[in-house]
Amino acid sequence: MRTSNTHTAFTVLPLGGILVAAVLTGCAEDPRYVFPDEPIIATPVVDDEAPPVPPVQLLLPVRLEEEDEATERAALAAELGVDVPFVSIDDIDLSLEWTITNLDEENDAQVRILITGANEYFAYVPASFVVDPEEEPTPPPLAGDIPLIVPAGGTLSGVFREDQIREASLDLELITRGALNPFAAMLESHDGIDEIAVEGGTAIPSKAFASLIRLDLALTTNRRVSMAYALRARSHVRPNLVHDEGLAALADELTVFEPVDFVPPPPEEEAP
Amino acid sequence: MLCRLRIVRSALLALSLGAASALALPAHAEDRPVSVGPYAQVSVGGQKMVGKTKRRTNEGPKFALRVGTDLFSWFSVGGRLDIASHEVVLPRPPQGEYTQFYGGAGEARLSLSIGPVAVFAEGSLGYTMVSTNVLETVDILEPGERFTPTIGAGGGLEYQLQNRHYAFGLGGEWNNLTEFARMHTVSVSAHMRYTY
Repeated sequence: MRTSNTHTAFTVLPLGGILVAAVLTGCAEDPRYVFPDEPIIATPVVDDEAPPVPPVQLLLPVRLEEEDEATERAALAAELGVDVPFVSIDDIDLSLEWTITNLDEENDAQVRILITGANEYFAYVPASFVVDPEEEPTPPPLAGDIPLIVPAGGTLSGVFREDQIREASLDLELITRGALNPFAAMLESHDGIDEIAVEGGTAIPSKAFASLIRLDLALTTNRRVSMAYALRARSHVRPNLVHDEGLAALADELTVFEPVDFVPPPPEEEAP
Repeated sequence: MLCRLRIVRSALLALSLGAASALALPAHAEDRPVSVGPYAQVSVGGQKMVGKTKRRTNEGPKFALRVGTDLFSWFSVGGRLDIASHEVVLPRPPQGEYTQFYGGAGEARLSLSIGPVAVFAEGSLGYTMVSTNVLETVDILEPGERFTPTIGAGGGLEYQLQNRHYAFGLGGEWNNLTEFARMHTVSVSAHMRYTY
């Protein structure tokens, strides 16, 4: 009898343990998806004088901050001497999956996806960096801007991976709180940096890097196309940072972020 | 003629021996004692959605752990934890994502032993949780919906080993996830049951 019980311990119970462990670890970082109501429809620009079509904003539905979280964050901000965001870059991983459909049945479409966005402090608007449109190029978006060929009447799918969105978040911090030139920020990967130097101020440590909480999506195309997309969020914070009901949540159950459009300081005048 | 008689005799002898062997089976089964009492059971199998939600997920593996007790040799009650993983098939992004269904239920089981083989039927009532909200995009889930009451029924065959504690079996099960657009699942599984 003892032998049989020993057999049990080595067969049934470990398998049960694996099952329970799988459930617990599986639940820990299950992704949540944010589905926009409508796909983006884009058409070719026929009038260069016309104002550009504003990007479509996809806001991350972040739940309200709990009291102990706010206390902890305030303590960390006091310790570091810098603003600490509610949604930091290490708190959440975001990825964006998309499918572009070429609505023109006869011609291939060349499409670029332009991703800009905002963290809880600043929004990145590339045009804000252009003083003289005749002389200066517009800085690149935070991600995308790669030519994609979509066959006539066909579809093309892809994803902006978690590491790409993370890099976009880092670039936004470098451009705004780090006052780095957008061209320089976008030129290289900054994954792994420990802090952002601030001229005449306290350096911002990686614990205080803000994540994107809003993606601004735009398409440039030479044919009429539509883009369906979904945002995938993996929160490393419990309770999950993304509200259970996503974009359908009541407004007073979501954190309201009010990022301001970042406007770079005017260039210093050269000494005569 | 003599030769034919010998053949007929031989055939009758063979039939008699066969009949005697068949009649001896129950006696042989009685030599195979079966434990009755607390049990644990693990099962591995596959699950598929059926009904109107079936095209939104592919078949996937399912694992279950059951524990309980035999109140009688023919009636048991217990609980079940299970996990099933399915690839989601959607008409728009995201594509190729997987979602898991975690279930917990109370069960009752009736069994009828015929020699070393038992036929069983079971019913269950519990809850199922889905790991992600990915099925919201096709209206199988409501925003924020993660749990559903679940009712199920199943049955199968089980073979009792010479060792009184162990039995192996094959079973099938139907479940109705009542809140998830009334999703129905069917699953088949192989199991090992240990009765203390």
